Amino acid sequence: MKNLYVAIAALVLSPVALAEQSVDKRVQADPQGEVQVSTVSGLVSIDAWDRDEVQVTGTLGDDVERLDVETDRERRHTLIKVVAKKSSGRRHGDDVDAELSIRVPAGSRLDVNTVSADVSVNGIRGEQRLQTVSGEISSDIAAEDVEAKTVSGSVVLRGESKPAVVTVTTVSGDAQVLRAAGEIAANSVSGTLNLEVDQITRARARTTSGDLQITGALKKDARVDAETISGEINLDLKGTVNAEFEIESFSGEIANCFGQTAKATHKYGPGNELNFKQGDGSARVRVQSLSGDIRVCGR
Amino acid sequence: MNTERTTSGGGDGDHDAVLRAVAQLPQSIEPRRDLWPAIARGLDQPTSTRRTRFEVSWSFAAAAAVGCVALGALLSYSVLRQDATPAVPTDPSATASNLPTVQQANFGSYAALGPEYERARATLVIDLAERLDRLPPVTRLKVEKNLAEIQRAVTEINAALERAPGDTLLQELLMNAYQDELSLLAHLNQTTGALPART
Repeated sequence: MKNLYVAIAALVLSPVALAEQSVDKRVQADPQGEVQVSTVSGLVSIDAWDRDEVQVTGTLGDDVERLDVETDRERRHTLIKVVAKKSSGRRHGDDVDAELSIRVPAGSRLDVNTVSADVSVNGIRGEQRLQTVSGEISSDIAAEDVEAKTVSGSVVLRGESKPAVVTVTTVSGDAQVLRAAGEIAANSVSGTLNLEVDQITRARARTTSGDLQITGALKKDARVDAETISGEINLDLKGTVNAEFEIESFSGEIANCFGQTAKATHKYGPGNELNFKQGDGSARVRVQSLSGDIRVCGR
Repeated sequence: MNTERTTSGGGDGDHDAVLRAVAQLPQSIEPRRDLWPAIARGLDQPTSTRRTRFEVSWSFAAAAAVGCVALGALLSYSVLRQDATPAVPTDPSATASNLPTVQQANFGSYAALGPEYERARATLVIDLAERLDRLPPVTRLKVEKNLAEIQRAVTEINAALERAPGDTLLQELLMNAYQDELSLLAHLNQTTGALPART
């Protein structure tokens, strides 16, 4: 019986196995050059290494025409592109799978574009611009700027508490930013945003219906702007809080762990606002919603 | 050298009489009630609640500036497109997409964002409707759902503005919602524009 299963599996999988092509390409690259990756579906895994080379290994699906790995004369720009076959009746992302494992110099700048391929980046110290339609993005944040954009895919960015500018945009995908520091801007329509920033200098986050969680310590003169229409906003501030708060909601509730209570904006009608100063009030925190509830707490 | 003394009328005697009358006035006037508590309350009030019209104007000026830049870019794009393509119909229901119809962009019931804005927005919606088919079906549904979500938010804020027309929070939220919608449409157009057309 076991042999039968093996035979069936071999029969089912053999066309796929036969169709897949293995790739292993390598080019010289500037240690601080730009690496651009463009693919449709599958997986892109990018790791840093200490060589002045870009290496691409992996497998290409049946509907992949070829894999281009090109570099300019100065080795400043490397292009890795999966080229799909022009077959009729092809539906997007169905068979244009490419599972790529890419190694680049640690100081490289990345520019990655995919349709449904997941993107995983590890150990890169240069700037990153990662964009996918429905794939998931997972990356480390070093001290350089990171921009992650998806439509429906989720985003996970992990920092090392080093100041950087982090920008996250999703439509429906959830986003999680961990141990970031410095400036963060996040925007989503219905995705949940969970932002953990060790030392906030600037934070701007907006959702339409997605929930928003911001956790972190405020640096002196920090600015936090959080806004939602109908999502919930949770702001958990760590350490000593020196900030002036301006919180307002048209019909949502405002909860505040610092003690002060919200008051009605209008004598007759909806609207709550809560304005208070904590400590020396050097930072400014502004939170707004239409109908979403707002909660502000210190830890 | 002669000096001339100018008086408003009368002689020195009149002047002295006025000074005597002034001297007889009380040195201070006590109010009928203690006014200080109300003044102190006003001074203690957090600055944000004493937000001046000037500050509000600046925040809206900033929002308007961003809006103008975005709108300018969109209008330029729209004008450039017009040279190459027939006039854009303002009724996107002609497209086969499930995208939300382009509604009049109102500010409550008392203001609208104007025909140029409507045209730019309609152009983006129509472009997206043409390209939406390039997305995987599941993603396409999510995009449509989320654009509808923003439309719902706009409708909600407008309904609230009907009840509280002067509310600056609602005005800001509405302005931001319109900007979010334009940004999203532009982002989706850029993303879908880079995808190959489905064969």
